[in-house]
Amino acid sequence: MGRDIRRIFPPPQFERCSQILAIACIFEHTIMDLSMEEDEAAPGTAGENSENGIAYIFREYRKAFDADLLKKMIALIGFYPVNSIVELNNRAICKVVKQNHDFPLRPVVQVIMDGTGMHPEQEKLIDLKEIKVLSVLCTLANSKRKTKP
Amino acid sequence: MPCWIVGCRLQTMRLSDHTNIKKTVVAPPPARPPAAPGAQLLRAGNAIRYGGIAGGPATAAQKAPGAVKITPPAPSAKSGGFSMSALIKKKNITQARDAPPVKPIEQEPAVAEMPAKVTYAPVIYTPQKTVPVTVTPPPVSPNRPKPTAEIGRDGTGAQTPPGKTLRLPDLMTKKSVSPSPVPPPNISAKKEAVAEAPPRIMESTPSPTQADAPAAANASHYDKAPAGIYEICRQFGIAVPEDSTALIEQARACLVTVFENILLPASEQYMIWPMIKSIASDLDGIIATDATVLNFLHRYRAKKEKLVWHSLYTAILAMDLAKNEKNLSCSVYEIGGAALLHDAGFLIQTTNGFDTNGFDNIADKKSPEFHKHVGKSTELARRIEAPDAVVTMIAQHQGRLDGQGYPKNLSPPPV
Repeated sequence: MGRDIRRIFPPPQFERCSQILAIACIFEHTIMDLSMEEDEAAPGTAGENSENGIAYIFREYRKAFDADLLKKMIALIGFYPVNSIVELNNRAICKVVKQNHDFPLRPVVQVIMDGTGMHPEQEKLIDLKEIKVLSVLCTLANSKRKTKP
Repeated sequence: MPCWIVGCRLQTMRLSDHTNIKKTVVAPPPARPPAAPGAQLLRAGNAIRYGGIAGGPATAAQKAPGAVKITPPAPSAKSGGFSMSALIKKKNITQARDAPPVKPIEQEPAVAEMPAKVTYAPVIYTPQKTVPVTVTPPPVSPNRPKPTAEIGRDGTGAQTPPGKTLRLPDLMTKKSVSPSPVPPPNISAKKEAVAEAPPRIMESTPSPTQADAPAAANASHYDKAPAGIYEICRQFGIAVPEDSTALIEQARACLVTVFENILLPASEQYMIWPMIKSIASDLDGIIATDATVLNFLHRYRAKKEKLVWHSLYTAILAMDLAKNEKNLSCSVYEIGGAALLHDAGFLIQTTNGFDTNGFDNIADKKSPEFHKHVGKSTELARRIEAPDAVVTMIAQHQGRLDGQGYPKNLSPPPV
């Protein structure tokens, strides 16, 4: 009976334009909230989690959308969005300032705290595309970088 | 006198009776065009054959006062300085070896001959006279609006005070000598200013487009696109909105107006959809002129009006993603318009309206209360007579292919 009804009234198709809008909505709500200075991320977003926002979206919505569209959106925004805080493998805490679109895992970062725990006196930028030795270990959640009075 | 004339005359004198010739007046030949080097060689040969060239020292007849000495002209520059002419120049041709002394013939200079010595008059530099140009202010009508910026006569933008006398050399050299009144922008300083600008201060933050567009030469291929678009627009004379901050602020103000009027009766909503389209067009211009727009969006994020900012940024992301897609069933502007309106249903649901965080009032996003905003947004889109594709996109913007979204019974599109 149900199959016959589906034949007569086929379910609406999830249009590609609608998928674009849905992906943009999710990315905006997740990534842009994460990059806000004052963390007021909505519940359920990556701002509360310690993992990367892109990884969260990919884990949650991998089967919900077309993989090609998801891939294009990740390439557009970058795996580490601008202004997110990352930790390098030399224990330095850095802020992402620019994307390398050919290398989404290797953005340009600005050192906030070096491996010895010292703040650099001058602005120090590291292009991870050029320095292959360094890489991003993980993304730091906003709650971790808040200093308690 | 050309050598060939001398040779012919000497030949004539040999054949005739020398005694009968008392006086020979050589008429000046008519002007001839410059001869080719080959013809001059032939003439020189005739002169040698018929006139003879005294190879030894001058004889007594030659030294006699009645002897006619013909000095060939200096080698012409057009003949290339032929060597035979130099030979002839060194040798004197005797008119008649055994002839009695005759009176000397008055030589008349040939017209086509060049003088043996050319003296040049000294060139004395005299400064050019300068033509004074007096700038007089044009008659200004009292109702004429005052121009904001005028280009001076020297082309540098500097204003020439009325009544001042300019000279032509000044006008020609002032452009290259006089410094520009507007100093070139310090790109690095601007970048630092952009980087150090406090977030969410839209009035004082300099435009990132102005700072990033010149620096695109050292950027990646993706970042070079704005610079190319700037150059093309300059060549075609298209006014490019260079201030992305002002455009975003303008789009935000327009969207606030839309949200304020979208709940009005349907008879007063005929201008809502055109305003949405204009906002989408502005956002499309921002994306086209500044490919790095996603890098600085967070700076303008405001604490308040979260629904407005969410709609704007979703529209930018969706339009940027849709630009690379092919065979879409709707245009990029319609996708942007749908993104601007996709959460407008919260305006009906929440009592605080768009001025607060809007959808944050509903905590559980998986609750049926949260999904009600989809139907209400669709209803608002129908009321403002949006296209069907826009209504469909708004109705499906919470859908998922795995059945987790709303509505649940969506099927994937055919490949």
